Amino acid sequence: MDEGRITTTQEINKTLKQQLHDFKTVRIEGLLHQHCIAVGIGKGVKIITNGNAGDLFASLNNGAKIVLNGGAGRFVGDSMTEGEIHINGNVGNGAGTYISGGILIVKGNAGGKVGQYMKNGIVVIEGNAGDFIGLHQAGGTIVVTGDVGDMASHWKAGGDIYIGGNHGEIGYNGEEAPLESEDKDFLQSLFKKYDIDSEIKEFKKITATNPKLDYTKKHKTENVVLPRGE
Amino acid sequence: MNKTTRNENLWEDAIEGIKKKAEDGKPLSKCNIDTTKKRTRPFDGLVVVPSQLHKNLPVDVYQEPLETSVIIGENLEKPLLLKTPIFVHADSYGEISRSARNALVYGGSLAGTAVFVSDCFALEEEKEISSKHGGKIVIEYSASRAGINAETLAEADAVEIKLSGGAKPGTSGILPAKKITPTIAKIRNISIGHDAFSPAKHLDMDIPEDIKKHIELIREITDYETPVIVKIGGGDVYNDTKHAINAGADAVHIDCSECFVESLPNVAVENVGVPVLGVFVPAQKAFKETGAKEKGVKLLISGEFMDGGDVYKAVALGGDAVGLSTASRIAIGCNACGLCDTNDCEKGIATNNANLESKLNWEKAGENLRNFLSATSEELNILTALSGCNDIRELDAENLRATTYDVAAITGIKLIGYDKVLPMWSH
Repeated sequence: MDEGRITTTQEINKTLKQQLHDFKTVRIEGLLHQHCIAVGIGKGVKIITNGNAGDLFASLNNGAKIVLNGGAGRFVGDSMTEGEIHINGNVGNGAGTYISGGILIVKGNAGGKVGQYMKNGIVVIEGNAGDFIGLHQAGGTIVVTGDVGDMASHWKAGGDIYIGGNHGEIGYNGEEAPLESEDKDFLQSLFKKYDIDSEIKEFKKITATNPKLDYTKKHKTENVVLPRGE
Repeated sequence: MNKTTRNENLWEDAIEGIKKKAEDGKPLSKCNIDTTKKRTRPFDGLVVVPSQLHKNLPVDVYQEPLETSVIIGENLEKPLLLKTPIFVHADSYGEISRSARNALVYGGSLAGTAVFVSDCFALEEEKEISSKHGGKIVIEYSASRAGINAETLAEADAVEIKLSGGAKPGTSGILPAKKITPTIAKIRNISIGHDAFSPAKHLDMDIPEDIKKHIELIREITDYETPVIVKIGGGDVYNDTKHAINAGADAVHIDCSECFVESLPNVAVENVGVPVLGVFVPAQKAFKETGAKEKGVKLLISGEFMDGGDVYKAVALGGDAVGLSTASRIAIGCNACGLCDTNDCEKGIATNNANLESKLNWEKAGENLRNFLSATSEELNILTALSGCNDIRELDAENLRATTYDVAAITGIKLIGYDKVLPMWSH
């Protein structure tokens, strides 16, 4: 695309869709924090983006391979059902929120609430992440190779979280579980496939204590205030 | 005004509640469609003014044309056209059976109106029924995002971002494990054997301004062709409506506190939210200040609408279209027994027990809904015509009078006898 001639989300996405009619790979140059870029894209295409994206980048991805060489705002890959999203930069809060399939890989640091309410799929943060990762996680896998903040897995009902570095207090209904050989095999094959640099032996695994959560009961962390706007 | 779920004998109701809570230590939780409870019809304090000498002469409903259609998203490539200002609420698959959903979609489609399907997805079967009978399906984009994907949004005739349900705005939701079948689990991408949780808020809307980004996201997915509606509960109606309009919604849908809910805390159901009569003035104020009407933004209202009289009054108070939830359920066979959250619905509606569900003939039930909607539309036509109007858009506050001081005070409608608006509205 011709940098500088189109600047709004609507213009960028419209041109992107037009190009995807004719080409399997499309490149976007000079992104300047626009929101909702490359959203709802289907299978069989690749989008390479250079610059910095705003919020909801690559949301509702439906099978495309999307690469961003730069940072992204909040909720990257939101509600993805299928496909691959690669972010070579830092991302804001809520990466991988609501995803039910596909893989999101961030080679950089992430804010909090990574993979909240995810139902399936994989989110990998090759760096550090903030508080409340896996909030309400119902399924799928979150991998953070670095450190994470407090309340990881808070109100988690399913899925796994692997943490390569240190973590703060674990949230309600999460607990550390031993790293079994199948976990190591999974991580090894994941890291190999996506060229992720990390030592598998150091990882900690967090699972749901009780998948049959009674949501109507108060619990020991009732003094924890869930995150709001940041 | 009292909310509508309390027993006529409040003392007995309170004692019963205290005993239950003393026994199990839990907040009360019950379906609010229980017919043993006294219910007040919200529009009973308003009457229609027939047109005689002073204004237009009456229109003959049997001989003259009447315009009742409503267009949502009139500036878009694919606007949502309702032949009548009445649309159907279909509760989520899980809360109600597949057959019940089919019946609601079938009946709504036959009547030429839209069916708003809760909890985000439309089943293939429903899409076929709707498409075959010229129906319109509005997909709900709710905080659980069950079944939401790019294809689903692109196929919808409109998308509704649900921020709250009117009966319990601001609370989370739980679908009991006993109602989750393998099909429901697959569609919602959840596990069998434990409760499914819906958050109280959209987890990807941290700040109020985020609603604008989600409207933009949906517009990008739908190529700016499909209407986007924002649904709010009856709360701070003026500010919330203004916010939704400024965020770019094609319609604001206010779901009022009388709306049906299957379960969840009685304390919320009985105490939270603005009843339907109280939402029109603040919503109209927000529309006026933002120039929303001129931009084609529509005001949709859901409350306890039971007949054409209720619909007429809502339209005259400023609503463009109204949603029927409880009435639609009753039209397909619900007997309002209040057992919706038990999975034991004898009518095959609020159950996913295959044996019970088989009791509902969805085609027959859908036809009954069509009949009900047609009759209700005809009632609206009769009242519109006797008001001297050929078009429902001509209806306004002058077509109504309040029969009680309270209703006149709440709505700004002229009080009978006094025949003026109350002094508080004279400005």
